[in-house]
Amino acid sequence: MRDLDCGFEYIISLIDPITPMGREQLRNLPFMNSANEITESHQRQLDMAEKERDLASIKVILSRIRDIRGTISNLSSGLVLDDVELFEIKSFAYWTGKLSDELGTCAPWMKLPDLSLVFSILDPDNSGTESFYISDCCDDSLCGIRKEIHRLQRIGVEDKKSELSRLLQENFEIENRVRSRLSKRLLGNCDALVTAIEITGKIDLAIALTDLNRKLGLGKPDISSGEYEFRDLVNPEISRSLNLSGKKFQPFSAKLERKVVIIGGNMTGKSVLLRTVALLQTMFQHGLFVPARKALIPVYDTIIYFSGDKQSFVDGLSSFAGEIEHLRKAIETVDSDISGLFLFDEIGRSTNPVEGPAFLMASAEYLHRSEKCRSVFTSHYEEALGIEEAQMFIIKGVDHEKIIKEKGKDVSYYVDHSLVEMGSNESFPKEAITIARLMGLDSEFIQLIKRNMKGGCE
Amino acid sequence: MKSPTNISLLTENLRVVSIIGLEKNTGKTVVLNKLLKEFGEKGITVGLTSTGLEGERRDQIYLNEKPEISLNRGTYFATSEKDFRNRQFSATVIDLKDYRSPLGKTVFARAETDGKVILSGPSIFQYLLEAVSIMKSYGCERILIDGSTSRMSPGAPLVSDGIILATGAALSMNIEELCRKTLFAIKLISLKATEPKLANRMLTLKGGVWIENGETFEKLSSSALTTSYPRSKIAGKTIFIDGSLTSSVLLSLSERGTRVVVNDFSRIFVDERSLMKYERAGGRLEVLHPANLVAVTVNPFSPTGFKIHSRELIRALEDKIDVPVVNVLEEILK
Repeated sequence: MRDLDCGFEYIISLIDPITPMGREQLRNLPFMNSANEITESHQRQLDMAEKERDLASIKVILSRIRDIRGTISNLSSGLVLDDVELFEIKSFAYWTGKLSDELGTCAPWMKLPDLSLVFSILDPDNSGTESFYISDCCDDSLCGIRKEIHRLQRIGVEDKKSELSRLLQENFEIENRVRSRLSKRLLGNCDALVTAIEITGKIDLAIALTDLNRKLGLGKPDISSGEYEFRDLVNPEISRSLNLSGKKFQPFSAKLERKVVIIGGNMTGKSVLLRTVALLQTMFQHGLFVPARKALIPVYDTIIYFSGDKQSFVDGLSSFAGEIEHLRKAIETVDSDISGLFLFDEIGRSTNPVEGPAFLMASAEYLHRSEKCRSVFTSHYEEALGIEEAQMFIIKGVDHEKIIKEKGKDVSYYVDHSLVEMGSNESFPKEAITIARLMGLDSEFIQLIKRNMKGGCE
Repeated sequence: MKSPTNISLLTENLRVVSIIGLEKNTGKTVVLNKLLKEFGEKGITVGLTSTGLEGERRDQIYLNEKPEISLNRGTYFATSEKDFRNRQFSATVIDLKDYRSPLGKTVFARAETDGKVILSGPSIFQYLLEAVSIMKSYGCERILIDGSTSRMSPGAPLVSDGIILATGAALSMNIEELCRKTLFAIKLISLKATEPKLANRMLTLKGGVWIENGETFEKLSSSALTTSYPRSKIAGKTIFIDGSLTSSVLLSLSERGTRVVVNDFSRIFVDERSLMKYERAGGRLEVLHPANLVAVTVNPFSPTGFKIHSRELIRALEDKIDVPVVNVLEEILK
């Protein structure tokens, strides 16, 4: 579901874990289709947000924690670790100990296993530091040999050379035996180390998500058993680029039934709305908080979103073939009795205006058959008004009063993106020409369009 | 003949010293070992790092036996994981940094017995700076940087308080040419600093080429590699380049009374001929941060076995420069 072209990658790119373990958990963030899993993820972010005051110091500690999975795998396969690897394990035990202290009383999921035994195995001198050294007390004979080596090196007598190299060799062999002993003693702690690595990654990711929530002002969504409602939903990516050009994203609010049709003129933001709903659902099902002031949404087994924009080209299909492919998957979902959210942007638009609306009507009817599914269509076709039992929305569109009152503004100034439920007697908006004129299309050409319209206009 | 030089005396009061060789086999490692020995005798805590692959047992090009780097007990050093594993002495691992290198991560350690090691510390300037500051945090009173051949960046005043320049027969077997090449390198290292008042104004300029215009500086080009400038505009002006200075850029700025200023000598990639032309046209070259050349060492042996008359070379160099010139084999190895 991550490959849905709804801007989810942009959101992911803003999440910035510190440790390699956290980054890997982010890369493998699963699509969650169980409410429990999602609730747990929410809880982790709430727990972490409570630690807000300590986050800066926790992050400093995290930045010192290395990924030691390679070393652990060497250890568990019975290899003798070298000094660098033993250091890595000692340092890991040292810093996760600090992390544990810093977290203090905390939620059960962030409880790190006690690695003080691991640390003490690697700290024979009780130095209490991160450094690792095979000290004299690791073996009874080390102290004497090293003293003698030092003495010989200081006097530097030529005829003692062979004696010196014999002692160096002996020192080398004893150190190797010590490494082997230490590795054996550590072997029993592999599981605890692996668990600590896993939990460190979880803590790191939860902090990164908490940062994201603060940065984008995301809120915790509520899980519903069927209702679908959001208030003040925004699209962070589009919102950001609008802000850069001094404009504002107009948030959407709606309560969606199971069969929804959204109509509206050109440039009113139907596609943006659909894309944002796809993003909302995708973020929700990856356990993230969402860009809405309030959201009450159900968990689905699958999300099918057809934007028609570019995904078909990427897959090497014509836009019509892409559309059919998505329809086929949606139909399969309905038939196989799993739950699904279907989001179709202007179904049938890539074929002729006689057959196109028929695709829309048929989809609306078929995809409604499963109680477990919800479909949202946007459309330009007037026929959409005839879809039975559909909840109809319209995006307000051009504000004609504004056009009369104020002239010479950018076209976006005159468009109202509010989503409103349609009354039964409202007519279909035909505003293409108005919008084209606002965008500054040649007036003679506009006249030509008008002459070419059957049945006149405006 | 002079008595054997106590080379560590030349580096007194300098916390970070880099040893730069103009060519491979110019005796850099001999100098380094001598310094380590002298510091060891005085009980000074030393930190040691290098840029590039140094301390290899055999020269990678000529396969001659090279002197290894000998650490005293208590010396701190930074080297790659691979070379750390190949050491032959006991050591404490203090830190492990993920600097990208083909030889793995960088280990920071302290020698617990005397021993020889292959040094391969971080080469990227930013990591070198970090390595030096890590060594400082360990309490190292002196930090030595074994610079890789013909790369000047470790000598940049931003990281080093002093430079020892190693030259010798490996650079050229013709004394005249060897002398000329060495003097050119010394000339760049010893470039004068711009007067503080003006230098302070230039410190804030970022990226590209800037020209003095009354009380302000205006940007001439956003790339330090631009080579076409209106002659009338640059004559007699001070021009600051935040970036590398190449020969073609310097030549394009050759005008009467022009003064070109760069951050420090390590940013200069100009050949002798171009600098000469520039100066003949009436230009001056200056730096914001001057370097401190402590000594020049000479190795009379070339890697192919040829030996030059070191006395003649030393005399020729001593005539032209005012820092000590030391013969690594006759004076240091004694």
